[in-house]
Amino acid sequence: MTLPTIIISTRAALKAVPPSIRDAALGVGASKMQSVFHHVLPLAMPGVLTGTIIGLAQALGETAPLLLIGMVGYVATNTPDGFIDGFVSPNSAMPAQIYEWAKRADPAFYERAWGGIIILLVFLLSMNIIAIILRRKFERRW
Amino acid sequence: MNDMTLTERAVNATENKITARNVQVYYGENHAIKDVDVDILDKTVTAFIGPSGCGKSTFLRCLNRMNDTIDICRVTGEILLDNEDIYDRRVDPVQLRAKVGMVFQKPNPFPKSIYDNVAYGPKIHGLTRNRAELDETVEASLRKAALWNEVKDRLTAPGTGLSGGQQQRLCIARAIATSPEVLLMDEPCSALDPIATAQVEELIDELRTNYSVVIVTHSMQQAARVSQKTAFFHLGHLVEYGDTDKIFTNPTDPRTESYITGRIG
Ligand SMILES: Nc1ncnc2c1ncn2[C@@H]1O[C@H](COP(=O)(O)OP(=O)(O)O)[C@@H](O)[C@H]1O
Ligand SMILES: [Mg+2]
Repeated sequence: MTLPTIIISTRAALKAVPPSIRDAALGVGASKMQSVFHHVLPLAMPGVLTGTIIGLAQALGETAPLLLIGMVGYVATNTPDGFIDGFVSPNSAMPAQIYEWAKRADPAFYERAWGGIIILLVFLLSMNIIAIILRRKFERRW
Repeated sequence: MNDMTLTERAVNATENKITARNVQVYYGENHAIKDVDVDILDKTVTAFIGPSGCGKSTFLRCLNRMNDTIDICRVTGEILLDNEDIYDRRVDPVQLRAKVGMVFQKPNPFPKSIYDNVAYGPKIHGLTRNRAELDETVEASLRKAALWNEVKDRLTAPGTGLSGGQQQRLCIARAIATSPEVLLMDEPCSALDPIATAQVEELIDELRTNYSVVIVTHSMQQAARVSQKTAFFHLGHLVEYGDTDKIFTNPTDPRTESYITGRIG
C-alpha cells in the first residue's frame, strides 16, 4: 500500500531536479554516474524521504488491508519470550491490535485500547511533522 | 564599453585548435548540421551567429560531445582537437569535457557553496593533491573569471544566491577550474542585463590570452565586439567563415549580407 506513494513522490522529486544541473555536471566532465550520485540524487533526496515517511505513516494507520491479509494475531503478553519467539509467535500491527482490544468487554482491555490509540496518534503526528520539517528544510528554488 | 581594449589586442595566433571536416548531425530524421568544415584557432574568440534553429548550439555541442547525451542525436564526419579525432573510440568523452569546457545559456551553478562549485571539476578529475592546492585552484579560477573580489569573503555562501551576472561568471570559473584548452559558450549573456553582459564580454576578451573561446550569440553587436573570427550558420549550413571585420563589413555570401543587415533572421 505504501509503494505507490513512495514511487510517485520519488519520480516527482527526480523530475524536479532541473536538467541544467545535469548538463552542468556533464559539462565539467562528470560521468553519468557522478552526475547522478553527486547532484541529481542528493537534490531529489528530501523529496524521496518525505514521500517515504508519509507513505509509512499512512501504512501505520491502515487497518483494513491488515484484516484482509490476516495480520491480526492477538498478542496477549507484553514481551515475547526470548529473541526467536519475537519473530515466530503470532504478531500484530498497532491498528489491528487496537481493534482486537476494543472488541473485548473487560474495561481493562478498553484502557489498553486507549493507550494503543494514543501511541499510534503520537507516532503518526510526529512522522508527519518530521516529513514537513524535512520538506521545509530542503526546499530549494532554482 | 571597452571597445578600446578590444581593438588593441590583435589576432596574433594562427595555430589551429579544432579542425572540423564534413560534419553532419542528425536528430533522428532531422538533418540539423550539413557538411560543416571549420578551423578554429587557438587563443582566438570565434563567434557563431545565425538565425535561431540554424544549428549553432548543435554544432557547439559536437565540439565537446555533449550531443552524446541526447539519444536520437547522431554525428558523422571528423572533428580534430590538436589533430586527434575526438569521436575516436578510444577517446573518453568525460576526459574530453574536462579539456573542452562549456558555459550554458542560463547560469546553472550547482546549489552548493561558491567554493564547491569551482572545486567540483578539479576534485572529480583528481587535479589537486591536497586542500591547499585546491584552494589555490579555486582562487585562481575565480580571479580569472573576474569574480574573486566580489566573493572572496563568502566562499561558503550558496552559488545560487549570487546575481545573474555573478552566477554566469561563477559558471565560467567552474569551467576554467579544470584548466581546459577550449571554452565553449552557448549564448552566455542572453539571460543577463547589459551591465553583466559587458562584464562577461570583457572577461571573454581576457580569456582569449589563455584559451580558445567559441561563443554562440544571437547578438551581432556582441559578435562584432568580442570575436576575431565569425562563422555564419544558416539552415544547418556553414555559409561563411572568416575574420569578424570582413564578415561584418564586406561579406561575400548574399545570405550573410541579408542577415547582418537584418533582412533575414
Ligand atoms: N535535443 C534535440 N532533439 C531534437 N532536435 C533538436 C534538439 N536540439 C536541437 N534540435 C533541432 O536541431 C536544429 C538546430 O537547433 P539548435 O542547434 O538548437 O539551433 P540554434 O542554437 O542555432 O538556435 C533545430 O531544427 C532543432 O529543432
Ligand atoms: Mg541555441
